[in-house]
Amino acid sequence: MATMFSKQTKELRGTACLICDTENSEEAVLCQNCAAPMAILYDSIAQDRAPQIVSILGESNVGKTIYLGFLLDMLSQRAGSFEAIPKGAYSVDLQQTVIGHMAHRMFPPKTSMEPDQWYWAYYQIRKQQKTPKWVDLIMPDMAGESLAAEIATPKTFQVIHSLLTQCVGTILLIDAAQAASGSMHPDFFALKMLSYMDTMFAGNRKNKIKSPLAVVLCKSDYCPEVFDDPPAFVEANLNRLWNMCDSRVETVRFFAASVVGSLGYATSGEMDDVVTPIPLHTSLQGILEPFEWVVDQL
Amino acid sequence: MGSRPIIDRVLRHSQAPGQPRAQQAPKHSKRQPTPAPAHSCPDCITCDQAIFTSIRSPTGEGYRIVAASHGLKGDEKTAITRQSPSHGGLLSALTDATGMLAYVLPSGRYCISHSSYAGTEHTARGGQRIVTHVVALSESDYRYFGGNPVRVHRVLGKTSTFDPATPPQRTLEQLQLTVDAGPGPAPVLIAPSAIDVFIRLVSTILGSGKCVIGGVDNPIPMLEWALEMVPFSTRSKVSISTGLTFSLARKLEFTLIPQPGPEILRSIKGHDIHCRDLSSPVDYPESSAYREWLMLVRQWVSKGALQDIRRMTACILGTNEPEALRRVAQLCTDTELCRSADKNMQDCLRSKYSAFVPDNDLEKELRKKILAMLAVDDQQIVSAPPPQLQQQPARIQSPG
Repeated sequence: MATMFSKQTKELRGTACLICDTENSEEAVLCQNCAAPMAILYDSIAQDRAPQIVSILGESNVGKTIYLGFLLDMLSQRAGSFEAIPKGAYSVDLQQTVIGHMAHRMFPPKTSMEPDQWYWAYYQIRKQQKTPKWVDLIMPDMAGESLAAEIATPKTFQVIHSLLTQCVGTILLIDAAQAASGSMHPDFFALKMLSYMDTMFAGNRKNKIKSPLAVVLCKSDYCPEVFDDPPAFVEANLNRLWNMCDSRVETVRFFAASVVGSLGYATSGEMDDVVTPIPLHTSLQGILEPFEWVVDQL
Repeated sequence: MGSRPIIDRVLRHSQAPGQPRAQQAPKHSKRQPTPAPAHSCPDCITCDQAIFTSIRSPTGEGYRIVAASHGLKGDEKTAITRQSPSHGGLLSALTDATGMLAYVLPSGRYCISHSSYAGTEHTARGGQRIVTHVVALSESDYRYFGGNPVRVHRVLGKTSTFDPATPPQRTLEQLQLTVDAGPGPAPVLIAPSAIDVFIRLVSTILGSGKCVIGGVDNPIPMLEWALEMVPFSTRSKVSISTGLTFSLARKLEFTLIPQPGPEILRSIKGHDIHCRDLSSPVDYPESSAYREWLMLVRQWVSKGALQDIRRMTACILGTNEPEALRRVAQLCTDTELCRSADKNMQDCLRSKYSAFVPDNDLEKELRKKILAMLAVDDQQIVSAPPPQLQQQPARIQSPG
C-alpha cells in the first residue's frame, strides 16, 4: 500500500505525467513514456485538487468498454442522485462511442492494445447529499489483452503498472455467463489479476489489498439467478476468486450487472460465416451500484 | 554510367552484405567491425518465430502470442507483445492489406513482422482479425537479406499460412526462411517528382530523428530501395513500420503512412517526432552531413543506376557513415570528372589521388580506377603512400 494514494498528497507538477511521473515537454499531448493524455494533468492542476484513479479491470471481451461507457452516460444524466461533470471533450468520447454504437444495434469496436489509442475519462463527481463532496475521478478504458500481458509479465505496459499502483478503487469485471456455463477461465483470470494486485499492493502476507474492490458479474442476463445473490454465485462458480478475496482483500463486494436486454444473431452468409450477436435493445441493470459503492469507500 | 565496371570489379573481390552468392569476405579493418559471413549463402536460414493474433483458446482470448518457437526469450516476447498491431492496426481495410514492422529486440536480434488479415474478428466487435507473423534474426542471418526488412517481409508473406480454423500449436518449430536472390523490382523513378520523393525518403532515413512519413506512393518498393541506398549498419538497425497505423507507444524511428492526419499531428506534439510529407513541393532541409552522397544518389537514380548504388552501399561497412559516404561520393564524382578534365585538372586529380589513403576495398578500387584513367604508372598506384600521409587521418588529401 506504500504507493497508493500517493497522488493525493503529492504536488502536481506542470509537465510531469500524472500517471507515470515522467517529465514531458509543455507541448506534449500524450506522455512520452506511458502515452497517457497530458490533458488529465492540466485539468487536475486547473482544479487544484489531486484526482483519484478508479480502474475498470477485466479480460478481453468481458465488456469493460460498454460498462464504462454506460456508467459515464448514466453519471452525466444524473442517475442515482450523482452530479457528474466531464473535464474536457476527451472524457465524453467513450460514452459517445458506446451509446452511438448501441443505438445502432452494434457493439462498440474492440479497444486496441496500444495505450495511445485508449479512451480516458476525467469526471468531477459528487453525490447530492447534505454535505456534498466533489471527487475527481480518472477512469481509463484499458484493453483486456494489454491487462493480460501486464499480468503475465509485469511492466510490459508501463502505463498499466503505473495506473494500478495509484488507483484508489478497482472495479473488476467477470464474465458471469462463461462462469455459469462451467468455464474455469474467468476464475483463473480473476485469480491472476488479484495475485498481481496482491504482489503490487500488499507486498507481504500481513498486509491485504486495502483499496476497495467491486467484483462485477457481467452479462448476468445470461444467468439471471446471479442477481439474486452475487456472493453465492461467486462462491459456487468462481471459488478461486472467492477464496482469494477472502484471504487478501480487505474491502470487497460482489455485484451483478447486465447491459443488453435482448440479443439477435446474424450471419454474413460468406465463407467464414461468423455469427454476430446484435444487441436489439439495452436494459441496464446493476451498472451504477458498484461505482457508487467504490465512491462511498473513498 | 562511368563507374559501373568499377563496382563490378569491387564486387568480384569482396563479399558484401546482401550479396549472398559472393564467396569472399571483405578485408577487415578498424572501420569494418562487422564482416559479412565468410561462408556462402544457404538457400534458407533457420530462425525463431512467433504468431501474434486474436483467437479463443482454453487459456485465453484476444490478441497475444498464440504460438512461438522455443528460442524466443522472455524479454523478446514482451517486446513483440508491446509492438505488434492489434485490432484496427492495419491502415487499409482491404482483405489483402499487409503491414510491416521492423525493430531491434532487447537481445540485439532483429525482429521483422508481417501483418495481414485472417478472416473476421471472432468476437462481436466488428472488423477483421489481424495475424502477425514475427521472426527474430541474428545479425549474421539478417545479412543474407542485406539487413533490409522489406526483403524479409516479402519472404515472410509467402511463408505465412495462418488459418484461424486450425490454430497452430503453442510451441512452434523454428522457421526455415528462404533467402531471396535480392531486392524486388526497383520502383519506376522517371518523373522528377518521384525522384524527389525517393531522395527525400533516403535523406530522411539517413538523417537522425524520429519521423512520421507521408506522401510516398507505393511505399513497399520505395522503402526497400531507399533502404538499399544507405549502408548496412543504418539499414539493419532502422525501426520502421509501413501499412500499420501510427502509434506513439511503438516508439519507432519511422512510420510510413499515406498522409498524417490531424490526430497524428496532435499526438506527436512535443515528442521530438517530425512529420514529413515527402510529396510536398516545399523543400525541407536535407541532412547536410549526407549532402554529397544524396547528390550522387540523385544523379545516379536519374540515370536508372539504382543497382550500382546498392552495390556500393553493400561495400560500406564502417561505422562513421557520413564520412564514408562523403568519401565514396567524392570518389565517384571525381571518376566522372576524369572524363572531361583538362590538363590542369588531371594534374590536380592525379596529385590528390596519389596521396589518397583508401579506407576500404571500394575506395581502393575507385582510386585505382581514377588513377588508371589519369594514366598513372601502376607502380605508383600500388606503392604505399609516404609515411607522413599514413600518419594522417584517413581522408581525402587536398591537392595543395
